[in-house]
Amino acid sequence: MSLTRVAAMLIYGTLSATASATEWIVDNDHSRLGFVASYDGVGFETRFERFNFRIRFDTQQPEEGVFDAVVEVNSVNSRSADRDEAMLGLEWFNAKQFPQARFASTGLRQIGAGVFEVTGRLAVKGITRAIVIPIAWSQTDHGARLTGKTTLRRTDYQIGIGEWESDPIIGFEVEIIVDLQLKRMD
Amino acid sequence: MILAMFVLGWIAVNYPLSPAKIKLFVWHKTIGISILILVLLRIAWRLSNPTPVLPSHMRSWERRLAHTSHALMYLVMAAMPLSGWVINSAANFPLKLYGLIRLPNIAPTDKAIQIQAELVHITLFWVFIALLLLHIGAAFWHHFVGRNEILLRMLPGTTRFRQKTGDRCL
Repeated sequence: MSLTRVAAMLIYGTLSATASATEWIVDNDHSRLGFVASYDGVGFETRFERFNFRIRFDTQQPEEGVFDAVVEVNSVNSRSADRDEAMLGLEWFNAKQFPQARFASTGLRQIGAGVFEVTGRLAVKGITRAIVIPIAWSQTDHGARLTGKTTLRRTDYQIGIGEWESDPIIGFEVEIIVDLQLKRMD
Repeated sequence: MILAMFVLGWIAVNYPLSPAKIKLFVWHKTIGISILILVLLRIAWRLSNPTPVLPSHMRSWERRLAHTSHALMYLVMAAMPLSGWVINSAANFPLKLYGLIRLPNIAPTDKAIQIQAELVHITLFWVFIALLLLHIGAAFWHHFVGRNEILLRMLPGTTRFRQKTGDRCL
């Protein structure tokens, strides 16, 4: 087999894979990406104001889907200026050194009717770990809606180091919340 | 209790951000709300019960000063925790009484309101210190200079009769 033929097959293969899954655009204004954490046992909600997704998904071929995200850590908003400022600090997100958090999917599979499981690698504060997020996918009038939740431990990503590492005043469990309104890319 | 508040508040504000700082504030807030409740009860009691009459020898300016400063002390004792509650609400931090009862926010989340309320809170602190010094000073003045029994009538066992006559007991 000639080298050109191999190259042609590879290119064709890549193109056909791209064509088989629908590409989606996130309507950031009507979407939410954030987390729920707790302060003195009381939950507080946050959202990131700036994020970028790359989503390729087709319910018929979920395993070919791609679900990647880049989140601007500095855009965190917990409706408390003091808390937001504290969260970006050295002991927490250290946003100066690690301004972005990233998620890259490594696999998708269907686990129920309209329910899928995204496996991927989440990188926060320079630490990358494999996580699994169950998501619900539903068609809407204008496109699709994707919702998902998963619980992480903040200490796995060194969020809250020093005394915070062992003190539960800021809860260890953090629930990641994804709620996206999607439009089909034309 | 109020003294504990001053100490807790002062340390909490100046403490570096840490779990200990949050805990200091949690206690400061719980005690502050407790004081608010006690002060409101005290004011209700005061309004519904006769207060000991001021001695007859007190001049009218002394009476006015005494009444005004007492009223102001009650006002400040209620306004301080209230302004603290506003700070906490505007900063959008949770508020719990003794770690059990969740209390709602009483102001919208707003940094400008938070800063204003902080200014009020610290100003009231100094006003309270001034009133306290005036109050203690007046008590000593009555006792040592005026040589009347105003201070001693706080002691249990002093009779209503003597309180009312305002006779000198020293």
